[in-house]
Amino acid sequence: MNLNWKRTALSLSPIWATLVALALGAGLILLAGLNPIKAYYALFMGAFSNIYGISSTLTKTTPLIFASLGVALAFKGGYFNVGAEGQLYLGGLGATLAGLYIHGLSPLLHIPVTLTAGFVAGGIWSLIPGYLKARHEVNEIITCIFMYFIGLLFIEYMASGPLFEPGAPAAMSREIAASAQLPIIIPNTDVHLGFLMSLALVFIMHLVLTKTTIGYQITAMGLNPVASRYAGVNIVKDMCVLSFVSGGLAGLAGASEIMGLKHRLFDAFSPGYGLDAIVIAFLAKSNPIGVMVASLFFGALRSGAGMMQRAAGVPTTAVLAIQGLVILFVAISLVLPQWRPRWFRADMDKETPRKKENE
Amino acid sequence: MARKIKMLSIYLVAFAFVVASVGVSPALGARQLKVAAVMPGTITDGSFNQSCYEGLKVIEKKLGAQIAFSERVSQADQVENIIDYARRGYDLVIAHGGEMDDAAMKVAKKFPKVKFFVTNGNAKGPNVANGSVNPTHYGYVCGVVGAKMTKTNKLACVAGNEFALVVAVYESFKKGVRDYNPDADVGMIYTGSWDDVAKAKEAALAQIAIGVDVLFPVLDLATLGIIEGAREEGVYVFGFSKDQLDAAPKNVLCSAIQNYSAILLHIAKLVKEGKFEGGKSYALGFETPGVTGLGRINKIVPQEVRDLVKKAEGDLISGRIEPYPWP
Repeated sequence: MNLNWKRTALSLSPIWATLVALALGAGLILLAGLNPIKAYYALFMGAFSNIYGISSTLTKTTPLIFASLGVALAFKGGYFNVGAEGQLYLGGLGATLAGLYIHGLSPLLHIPVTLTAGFVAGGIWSLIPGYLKARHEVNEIITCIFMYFIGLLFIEYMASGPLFEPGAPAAMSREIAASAQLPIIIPNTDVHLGFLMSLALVFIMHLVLTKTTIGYQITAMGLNPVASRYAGVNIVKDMCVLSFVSGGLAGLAGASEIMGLKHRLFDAFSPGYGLDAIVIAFLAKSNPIGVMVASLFFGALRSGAGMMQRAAGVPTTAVLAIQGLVILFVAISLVLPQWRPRWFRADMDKETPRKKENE
Repeated sequence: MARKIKMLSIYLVAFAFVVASVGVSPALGARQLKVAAVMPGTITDGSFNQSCYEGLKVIEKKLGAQIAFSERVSQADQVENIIDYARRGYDLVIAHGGEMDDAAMKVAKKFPKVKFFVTNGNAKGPNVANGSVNPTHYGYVCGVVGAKMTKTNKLACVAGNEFALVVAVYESFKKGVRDYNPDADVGMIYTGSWDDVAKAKEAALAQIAIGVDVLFPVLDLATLGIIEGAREEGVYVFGFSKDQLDAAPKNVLCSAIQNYSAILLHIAKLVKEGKFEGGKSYALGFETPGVTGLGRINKIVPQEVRDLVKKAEGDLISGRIEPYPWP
């Protein structure tokens, strides 16, 4: 039973990590001279208590799911796409362009066209590191990070330059056509059609990865690219397609954010969804269903954190520090299964059949 | 054992919630004015956001209002923050920054009884107004000072992006310079960042290298970079937003003060007295005490220039000079 207990404990390590982070965060809140219980109550209520809290959580979950699916798919195929934030921004730009400059279409046509524009823009941004990796073995982690900064600054340039709405009080574009805006699915909230689309994508990706040859090919490529090549897989082509689709999914995060929520291109319109996506993909071990659950958790954390500030008066710095602690500890918990202290591992190793015979 | 732990944790969580819900039961009191502000940056930035925070504190003290605020609100969280205050019955919700125009408008439609004020914005509606420190006022008088202090007849503005407000400041500054020194040139540089101190310093040094000896930053935190560049190269510079004479006592001529706290107090007073006008753009300048000014003027600025400043202020208040159409 002791062993089972340890196994269960280990599989739930991200949850323990979150609790440890929240406990440390409570210390921070105490330091700020506030009541941690009150603050955490606000965190929880802010994320789940009523329709507004839930809708705010779902609104934030939507881009997280899109972007994390992109990152998870890339991880599955051995492409470490850490540039999802940049692809998300480019996706937002693609959607904005399609939403601004295409007129006279019915929403039934305009929405898919705009989404596709976002997908393609994000995909191209990811294809560049993907191609360089596949063809020239350039480390994609470095190129992805470069592309992220280029993308971020490019959007800043577009929002304050060519797309800038004259006379606007901040760096932003004009509003996209009404026919390109995603409809709200829960009245009087910000939850838009993008949320349902992201859920649909979760299941599509789950099916593709588990039931199709393509899914198998991606997994094989991720596990052992050399073996895949010997087995007759065109690694260069597959890596390019994979990076394109991965970036496209991240691009959809930006596109849905513009089409459903902001309706304009702003500089810095994403608070780091694409960066959270990396942690989420790791946390979910690149499993689409896991991505959905982890995205919901991060969405709730983000929306509850705002409430913690508004209702309990916790300073933003403390709120951000707590968010950071959660991410840090979850990340640590993910390497724990590989690095277990000797005292923890000792009796688990005994479980192997050979040792049992010895006993 | 695992089961016991599970049960224990459920009890603990339940207990935590009981404690928590007792802890936050609201205190009932007399009806008081409730004012909330949503800010894009930190309340300790020594500039735009801090000014808003100080305004809230003054509102709390002078009007006996209940105040609340959110700082560092990202693009994605604007609506959520504004709507939350509206829902919780705040009388006035301040969206501090023009980038919140859309968010404020969106929320305002759903809460007709709540008043919304967008600082430096364009938003207008039955219950929405916007307002700013009149940029033509401080821009013009700084121009007057710059016109008389430059030796090379080259001056320059440095800003982040080409917003309407920035253009108004620049045009008014230029008018002030030209009215008192027709030979002078006034350049305009956009760095693309309001907070990047290093970038601003580079821009300042580049301007100084081509002979500019009076710099006018229209920036947030990055203003410090301009002042730093001016201090190193020994040229003149204006402080922006707050009195920044102490940042470089030999180089800062005076500061273009924008006291948003005075504006917010003014707006909150209007709300309290029921005189708040939706659909209006409030532009407050020298005519409203405490809103704008030059702060402490450096002792190197001669008395005759100070007299010209006084005269210019009078001209602006009387409306005899309108440097640039605003709003």
